[in-house]
Amino acid sequence: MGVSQDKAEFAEFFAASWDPCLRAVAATTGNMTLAEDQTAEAFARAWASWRKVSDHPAPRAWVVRAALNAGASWWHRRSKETALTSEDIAAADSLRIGLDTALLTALRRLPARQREVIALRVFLDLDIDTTARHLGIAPGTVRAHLSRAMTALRSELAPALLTEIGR
Amino acid sequence: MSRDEHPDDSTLTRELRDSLAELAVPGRPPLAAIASRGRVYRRRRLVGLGVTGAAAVLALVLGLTGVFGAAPGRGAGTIQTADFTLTSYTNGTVGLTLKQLFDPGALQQALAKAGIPALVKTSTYCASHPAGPSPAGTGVLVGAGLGKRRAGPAVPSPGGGVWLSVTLPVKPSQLPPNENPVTWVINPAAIPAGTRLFIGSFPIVQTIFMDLLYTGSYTCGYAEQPPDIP
Repeated sequence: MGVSQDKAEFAEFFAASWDPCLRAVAATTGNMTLAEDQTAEAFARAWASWRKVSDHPAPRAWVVRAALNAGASWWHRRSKETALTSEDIAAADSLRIGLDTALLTALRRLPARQREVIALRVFLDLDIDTTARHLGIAPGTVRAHLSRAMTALRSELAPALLTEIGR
Repeated sequence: MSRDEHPDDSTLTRELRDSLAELAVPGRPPLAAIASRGRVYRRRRLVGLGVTGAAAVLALVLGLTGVFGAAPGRGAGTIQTADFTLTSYTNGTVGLTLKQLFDPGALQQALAKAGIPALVKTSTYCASHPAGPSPAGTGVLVGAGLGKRRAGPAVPSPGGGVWLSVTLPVKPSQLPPNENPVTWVINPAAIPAGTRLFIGSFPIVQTIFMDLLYTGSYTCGYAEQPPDIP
């Protein structure tokens, strides 16, 4: 494959995938500004390794996971600098992100692996097997993480969902 | 909904996806900016591979072990720890740069590997009976007998040893930038048979003391400073 074809393929992928990847990262991290930076970094990494990424079964998942991994480091550094409660972060970020505060708070309370599964399985609509392959875990483990995450979210969001369904 | 999911999960999944679809996102950055940043990642990767490859080749050529540590008995290369750097030169001399001395045993072992029989102690004074020859006078310490230094004058003691005022950390918590390494050049070939080089660190008075001891007749004891230093 030629260099110009690589460039054209990446440009096409970038144009089609920026919005869904950024949404998945933003919803998972709860901070649009941070998500925008991390997603851009992840696309830059994808550009640098495009041959590998383009052969990946789910290139968008590669980008989202690279962005979330960068986010883990960022949050790790930040948590050493300032102790913020999840409510503080969710309340501040929900204004920027425009998502429901309860949903954000519930997502932020999930363990990192469960959030990864939600991002890939729900937000990127990957099937269980692809999600499992991408995360390097067994499909049964993905199901278990997904089940626990959904149970936690149902529990957190029950009143809001009941209101929504009752409309 | 898959067969593995809870009946309510489809509602929840729809809710999550709907929320996501409503999420307004900023426009994507210029592709040129992404490519420019990507080139940085690509360069870093290539540089990383280059450095790793060059280090591996160098280690093979020099026959070094560890972090450029010298193979036992060969006296070639460099041994580096948090406390010191020990470099064997092609003329047979050995450079000792001391940044701190919290592990005297490690320095003693490294010196032995570099061909220098030594006794390294902290807050302990050792002396032979009779007194050993002067390390400066015998040429064990090269360059006016004292080697390079970056702190305080090196002074021969009345007993024949050499002491040097230093500014080294006295506690592990005293980290750089306060470090002020001192360097000596030692000539192993000049060490008289039957003697060994004593290196004593006396943190309370910020002094490093060196002397030659007769291996078969020396004693050691706790001391805040060498007794023959004025």
